[in-house]
Amino acid sequence: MKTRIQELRKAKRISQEELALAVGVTRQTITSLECEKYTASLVLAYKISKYFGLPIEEVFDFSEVQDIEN
Amino acid sequence: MEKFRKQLKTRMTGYIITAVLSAILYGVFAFLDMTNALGTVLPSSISGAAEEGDFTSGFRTGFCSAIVGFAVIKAIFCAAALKNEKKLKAMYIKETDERTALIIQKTASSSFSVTIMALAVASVVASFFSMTVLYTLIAIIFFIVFVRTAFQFYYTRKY
Repeated sequence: MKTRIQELRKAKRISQEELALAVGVTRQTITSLECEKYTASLVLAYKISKYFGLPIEEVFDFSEVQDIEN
Repeated sequence: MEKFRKQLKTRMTGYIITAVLSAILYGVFAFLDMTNALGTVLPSSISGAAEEGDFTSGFRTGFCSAIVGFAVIKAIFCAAALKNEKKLKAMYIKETDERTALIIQKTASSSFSVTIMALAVASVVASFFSMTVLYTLIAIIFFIVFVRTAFQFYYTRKY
């Protein structure tokens, strides 16, 4: 799933390690999310969105899900 | 985090008990090997394996040593984490990371399928050479499938 995590993280000038520690996952999970290799669970998506202070839809790209529905 | 701290303390106690029991077992096996006591206690058809010498006694002592070593190292890691908040948090994150959990699940599932197929092929090959090996492999296949089915039933009920 596409995300804006890398863009938002760099805008906030924080490392993957810092973000990982803040949301309670390993740095490798953040790397996998940014590389679109891994899809976050609902809980993790909520934690990341809350960390950036944005709605989930502005951090995670759900257009693929909408395409499947259509 | 407090709940995890308690779990870690329980785990550390478990590791220490495992290490002690394995060390005792090591002593028992060493005694039995030295005195060849098994030969005098068990019927010769069973004790025959004990008389195969270095390999079997080495396997037993090596197994116990590995268990003791593993348990001691794990207990040390637990103790270190309990003393240091940063290490405790790192351990907690490592254990609860969802991507890691997914990888472990997928690995277990794939490993099970490959293992069962390999054991089935091995049992067919063994049928040409040794009935003992064949029966052993069939028993292992049945045991693995039974354990997997039991856990599947348990987790289906739980979730």
